[in-house]
Amino acid sequence: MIRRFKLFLNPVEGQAKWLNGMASRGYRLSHVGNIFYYFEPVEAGKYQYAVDYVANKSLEHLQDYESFLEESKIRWIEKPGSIGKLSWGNVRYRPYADRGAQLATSWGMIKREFLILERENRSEPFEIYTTVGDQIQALKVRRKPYIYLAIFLSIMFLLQAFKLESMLNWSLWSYRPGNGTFSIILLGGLWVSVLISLVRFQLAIRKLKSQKEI
Amino acid sequence: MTVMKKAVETPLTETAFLILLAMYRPNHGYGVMQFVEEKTEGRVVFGPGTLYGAINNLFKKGLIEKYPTDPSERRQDYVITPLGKSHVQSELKRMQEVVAIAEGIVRSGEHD
Repeated sequence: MIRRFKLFLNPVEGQAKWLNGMASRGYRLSHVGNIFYYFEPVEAGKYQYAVDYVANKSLEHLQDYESFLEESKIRWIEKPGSIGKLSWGNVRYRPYADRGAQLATSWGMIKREFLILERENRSEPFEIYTTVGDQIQALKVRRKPYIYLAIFLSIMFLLQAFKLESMLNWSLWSYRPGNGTFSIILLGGLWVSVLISLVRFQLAIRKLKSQKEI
Repeated sequence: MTVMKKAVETPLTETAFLILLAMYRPNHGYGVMQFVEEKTEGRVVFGPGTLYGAINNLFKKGLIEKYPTDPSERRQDYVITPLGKSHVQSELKRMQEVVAIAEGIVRSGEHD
């Protein structure tokens, strides 16, 4: 058994690529902990992996999907993710999720943002969505939390900017101690990275649309 | 002029059409996947997300229904409904029309 730590900027395609690379070197994903991935040695190239984003699914819907995967001879492993969540204690609000899944609680959903799918290797690549329409839909679902995050960060950014402005004005009643400039740089950086992700989603969706049936 | 609205008129996607055909006898997700791959000689391979979404969609629209299975089998079988069959029949008719038109044109190399 070997243990690996890995973070992904792209938790769907990036993670799948890495897991497939491990599989081609003879490592099968055994389980995923809070921080680490655990692998067991197997015959090289025996398994294939794909990653699905499932944070928008309600617990009931997710369990139904998981049993469907099982009957389709696909092994699944739940993987926590941490993009675009507003959390308060053990309850997380996901405005971007489907109805019934918006309030995520630790019983079922917080640690189930992604599903890693494993099947025995076949000649063709392992794709979860095989029609262009479904691929576009899957990207739109993944884009949603970034849209909310961008709105949230914009509001935070504006609040901070006003705070800084009043600090510069040096009026006694509005001055609050604290490093406003640092917050603005941090928020601005985050905002730019979210914006880049949004543009990437948009480009990928546009590319798929051009491949749709004539 | 009044336009008669037909009960079934939207063309089915290839995905929906093939799933409905696979469900003329009770079948489950994996069985549908194998049926389609075999019949199309590997041209059409459904990803699990696509198949799951399409089966749910057909079920919601009443084109397929759940078929009771042995609880020990841990799988859900579905079978096509009469409504599903009428969709398949109109799709087949539509396809035959298109094929007839295409064959006529392609064979003679031009329109009449």
